[in-house]
Amino acid sequence: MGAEATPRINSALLQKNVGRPVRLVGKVIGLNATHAFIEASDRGQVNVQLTAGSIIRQGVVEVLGRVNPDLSIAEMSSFMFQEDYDCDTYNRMVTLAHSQPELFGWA
Amino acid sequence: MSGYGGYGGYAGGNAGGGFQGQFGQQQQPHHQQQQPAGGGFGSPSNPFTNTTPTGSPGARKASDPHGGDAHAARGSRADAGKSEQSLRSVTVKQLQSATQPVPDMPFRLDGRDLSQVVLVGRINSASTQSTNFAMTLDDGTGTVECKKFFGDGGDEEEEAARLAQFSEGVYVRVVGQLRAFASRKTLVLFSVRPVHSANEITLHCLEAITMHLALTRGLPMPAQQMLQQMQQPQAGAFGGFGGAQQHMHQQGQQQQQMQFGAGMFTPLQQEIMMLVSQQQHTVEGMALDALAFRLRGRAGADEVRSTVDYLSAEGHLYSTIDDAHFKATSA
Repeated sequence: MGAEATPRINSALLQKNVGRPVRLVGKVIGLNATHAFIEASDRGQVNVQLTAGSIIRQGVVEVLGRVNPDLSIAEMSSFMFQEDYDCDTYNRMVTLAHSQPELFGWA
Repeated sequence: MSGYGGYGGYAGGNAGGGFQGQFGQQQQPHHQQQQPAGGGFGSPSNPFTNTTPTGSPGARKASDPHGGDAHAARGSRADAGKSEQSLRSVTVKQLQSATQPVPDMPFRLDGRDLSQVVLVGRINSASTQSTNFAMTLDDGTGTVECKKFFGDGGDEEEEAARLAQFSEGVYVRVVGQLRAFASRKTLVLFSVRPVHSANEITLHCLEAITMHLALTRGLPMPAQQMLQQMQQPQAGAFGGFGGAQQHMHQQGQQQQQMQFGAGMFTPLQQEIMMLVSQQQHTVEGMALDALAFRLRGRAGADEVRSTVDYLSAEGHLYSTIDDAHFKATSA
């Protein structure tokens, strides 16, 4: 058991997690060959630098990646979800989870 | 299967019917024949956590199909005898902090035995061995080794084919039991199924938080205060206590309420539960008239009726020979 914790974040939590691997769930609002633009659960926009062979496409995605100093995310891997996504409840969950370090260990 | 399947079964006991009695309109008695819906988190002093497998709060969740493995899950729980069996939503970090005071005995977490757990996470790596399917699950709080042993009999190929969909990067929901193999914690899985909606993550994390807090702090006061606010306009319920007094009375009751689940019951509910419990030894239980008589001066007959309806809908009481006789669901 072990491995580094990968906190779930929204756009507001990027700052605190620079340099760390994080999980960002959100809606893909823009996509080109090199970048994806994700609307995070707090409705803020996050830029994601796509990795080679990225599977990101239109829809709801979880991106696992590292936060760059400029608050963009360097994608490591992603998972596409179905469209069914309640972003406000997810966002409240993220805030709540960060207040429960015993369960999640996200600073 | 939607991600809310597991939760819907729980909420079904509370929604609608739970509040119908509150407003004292259609006095439909709620014949609660299944296991208790309320107090399902089994706080240490909560008598509503039954020791029989079907009575356990966890059985409710396991009845939602996790790919037919629910039967295996239930069967093995029945074998385990009288120890508490519940299905708990947890995070990997919690599994890491679970302790095993006596080797080969169940793990403990938040002051309860950990029997079966649910996790939602992404597969970091997976491989099929001769006897089992092994994978590493990562839920953002840590990673855990999981193993699904193949059943014996001819279905091994089918199973292997079904498990082939679970490859690196896939989100899954697993149900399993924590074991220690050579001082390394492993999750022996009863079921694995894919997660399709991000809402499942939300649901799972919220469940884990709720269960943890319910076990460590008891169910929240706000739920109880909300209940009182709903009762207030109706029959001047608790008018006898008065506004500020009522709140203080509540706090005072907190300690005494340990018996029926910390912070869960209003004083009236508490009293009704205690009175009804005194008739547990009889076949028919406590009659509504007798209950109203005992509570005269403190609560009107209508209020007693509606509170009994509410408790019944929540699963704390059940009607016996007719809808005017009740017994408590816990021993």
